[in-house]
Amino acid sequence: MGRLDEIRRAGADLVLIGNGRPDQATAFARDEVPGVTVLTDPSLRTYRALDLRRGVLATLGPRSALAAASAFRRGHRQAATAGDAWQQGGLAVVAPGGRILFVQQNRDAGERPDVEGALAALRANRAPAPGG
Amino acid sequence: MTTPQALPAGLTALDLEGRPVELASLAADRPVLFAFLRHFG
Repeated sequence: MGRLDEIRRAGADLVLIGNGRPDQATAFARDEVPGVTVLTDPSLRTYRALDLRRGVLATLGPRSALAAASAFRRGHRQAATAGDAWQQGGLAVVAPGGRILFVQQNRDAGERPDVEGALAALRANRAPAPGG
Repeated sequence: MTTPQALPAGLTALDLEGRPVELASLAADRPVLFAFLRHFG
């Protein structure tokens, strides 16, 4: 089962948010993640609201360089950056009412998304209350 | 870094047409996993 199926089986939807232009978001949605909702936030306000890291060292530090080298060996080649070069990513699980169940604030470009952590938060949110 | 407890009201991103979409509204009926990308591509 793919990660997207796991997320949906846990009762949630997946939304990807980048920070390039809308036309770059359109190309990414079409070419990389068809069927998934893609939004973009060039202002970075949503990133700041979740206190996601932004900085040169986070992008060019040793862990990021190792991750880039590993990706290169696997055949990945990054085209021109479509967005803010220094912005780091992360995850946030948001429940109805705006309550945040889980946040991952990536330290650098080498950090992988903690999908297991997000799924655990979703499953805990669905679990009936003890005695209920 | 701090860990926010709730999405600020009125927080928006742009859809593919460039129209603002309030993030909380996407999670009105069921939870949403928002994946914030470093960049596209």
